[in-house]
Amino acid sequence: MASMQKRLQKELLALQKDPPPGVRVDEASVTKSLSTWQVDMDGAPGTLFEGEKFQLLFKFGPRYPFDSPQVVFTGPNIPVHPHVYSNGHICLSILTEDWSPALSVQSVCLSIISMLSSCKEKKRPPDNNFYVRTCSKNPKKTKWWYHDDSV
Amino acid sequence: MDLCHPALHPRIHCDKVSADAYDVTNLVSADLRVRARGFRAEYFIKPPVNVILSFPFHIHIHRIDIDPCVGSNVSLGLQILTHSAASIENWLVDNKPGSTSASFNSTINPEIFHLVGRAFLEERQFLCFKNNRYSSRHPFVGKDFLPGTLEGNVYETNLWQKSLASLSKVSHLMVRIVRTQSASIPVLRSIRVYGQPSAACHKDVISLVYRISQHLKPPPVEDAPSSVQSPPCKEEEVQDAARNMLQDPSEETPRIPLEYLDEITLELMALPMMLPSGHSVDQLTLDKHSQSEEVWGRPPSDPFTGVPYTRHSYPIPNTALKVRIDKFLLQEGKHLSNVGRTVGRRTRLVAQNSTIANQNMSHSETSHTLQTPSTSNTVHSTARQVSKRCIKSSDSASMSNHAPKVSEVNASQCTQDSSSENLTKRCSDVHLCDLSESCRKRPKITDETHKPYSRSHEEALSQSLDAALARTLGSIPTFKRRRKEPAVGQVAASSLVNEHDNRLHINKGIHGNMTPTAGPSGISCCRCNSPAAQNSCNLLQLPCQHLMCRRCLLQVQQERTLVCSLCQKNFQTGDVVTVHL
Repeated sequence: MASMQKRLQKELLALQKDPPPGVRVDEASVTKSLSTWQVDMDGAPGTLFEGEKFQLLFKFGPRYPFDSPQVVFTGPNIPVHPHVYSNGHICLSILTEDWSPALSVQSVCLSIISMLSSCKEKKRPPDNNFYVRTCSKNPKKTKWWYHDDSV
Repeated sequence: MDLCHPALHPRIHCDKVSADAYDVTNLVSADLRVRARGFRAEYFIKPPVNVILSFPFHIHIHRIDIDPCVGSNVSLGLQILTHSAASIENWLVDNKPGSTSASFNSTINPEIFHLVGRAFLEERQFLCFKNNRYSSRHPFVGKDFLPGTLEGNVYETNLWQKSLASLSKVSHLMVRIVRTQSASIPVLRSIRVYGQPSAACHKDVISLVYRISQHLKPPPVEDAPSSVQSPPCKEEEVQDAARNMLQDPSEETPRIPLEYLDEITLELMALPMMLPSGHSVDQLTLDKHSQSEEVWGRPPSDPFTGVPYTRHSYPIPNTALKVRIDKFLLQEGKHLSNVGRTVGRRTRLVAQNSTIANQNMSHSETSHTLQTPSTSNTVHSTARQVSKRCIKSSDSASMSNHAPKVSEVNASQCTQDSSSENLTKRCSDVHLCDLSESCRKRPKITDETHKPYSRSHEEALSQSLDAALARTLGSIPTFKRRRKEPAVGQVAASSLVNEHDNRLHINKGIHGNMTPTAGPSGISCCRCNSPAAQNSCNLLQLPCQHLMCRRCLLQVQQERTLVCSLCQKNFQTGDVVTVHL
């Protein structure tokens, strides 16, 4: 537990000091508990999501960084993207099985920005309605099937 | 006497925001570890920064010692200002010690302070402001009340007496940081104000202060003001503070260099392993990572690249880093608690808080361990340190001639004591060699000498030895195979020892591991029966654990009858392993 806190603290400090473009940590959300972060994110300029604002919710388990954090989109605006369900769940391999302890909040944010940026057509995933009705609250409980490497 | 002593409950206040865990109250904290951290302003703060000390009674200043360096940050320009309030609230007498100072101090206007001293440093130096007109009054006379002399790089300057009260009747003291080293943050490591209660103080106050000062007479060794004087506070207080520190999420150990920290967990590495990707992480981290990889059904891999380990690329112990970490721990270890370690003793740390005497002892012990020359192999050198102490405490004088040899015995003894499951065989091998070679009293002596020392160190040491050996030897196929058959190994080892008495015993230990078949006749080829000594060529080991000399193997290969002549088992040429003698 102590190790997780140390690590999160360092990451928070780094993210506050030198955030990637378009990424801000909502400090109010972090002061309550270090294990839940809200990160504000801007759509990258020159992409389909330019000018849009999103919020990501990170939840860190006690085994972080050996276990991946729970990451979902939250707030009023959830991006319309073939890998993002309308309840905010994200189909991204590094959030579950391709997670590595060397990854960080910053690298997850960058991956998500890059995922959004490489989108060519704004649409929901094909099984969106079914998934949203049946899925668990925790996206990590979903057995994801990563099939599309292009976006 | 030291008027900043926590027992006198001076109040301290800063007009700027301080960094987490580097609050200005650290400077007068009763907890040594907190106090040693010092004060650091938040990183965006620029000078001037005012740090105001207020005393429960008027004081007569003799000397002010300031250490303006915290980590790499240095405050170069400092001003000392004083203020003499007509009436002050004496919280010592009113029995309300330790209340927060913020509300009290914020009412003070910095304008009313008089400048009494100023210093501009050129480099990292210890600062000392002196009042030349100071003379001690009864009852604050005698050696006990004089501040100790300063050693090292000290910048001395005098305090100016602007008015009668500006040095001899001071209620508030302000240290103003006016300049810092380029890009540095305003910091103060420690402030000491030496002096006595002012002559204007009430008799009761003077006697009360005298009584307090009698309680906190510094121990004879700790005269130097640079060393942190320990407060005479109760043990519960210390424990409370320690607990708070543990709970404090912003707690840092700023002295640990970044390269000693695990890149993934940011903890100090107990057993640094070098990954194929070039990063160094702790063995514990690797174990945890392998566990989570197993959940996904993947083999252990480099957490940074995701590339699975192969026979040729796998984590290796980073011994060079380990040496430096261990050296660092031995030097700085007394300031560090709750870090994973294989050197230095945890029990010592706990004891240190309770009494000063213990602290002094640990001081001398640490320096003692550092006297022994460090070799490239830390594990070995640590073992030697242990053994040297053992020798000292044991009475057998004859043994001291064989210090290095004895250390080996001890090392094996330690490992054996820990009863580590998978490596006991190896230990017993080494042990057997030593036994057969020399006196049989040794194990008994080492057992006895273990008692005065706490177990934690020995266990940690043996675990580190075990892990390191298992890892290095684990890459040798014969070693792995041999672990399955411990009984044969011991016979092999002992018979080997009998044969080659002249060899170094440590080599024998390894040979014992690697020599698979050995009857009472020694090591020989299973086909031509020529012993290894006569046969100048190499012996090779077949998958059935039997040995064959190179010459026979070549013949067998030419005849295309790849069969062991003892057990008639078939084998492939690729399964044959060379055995080194």
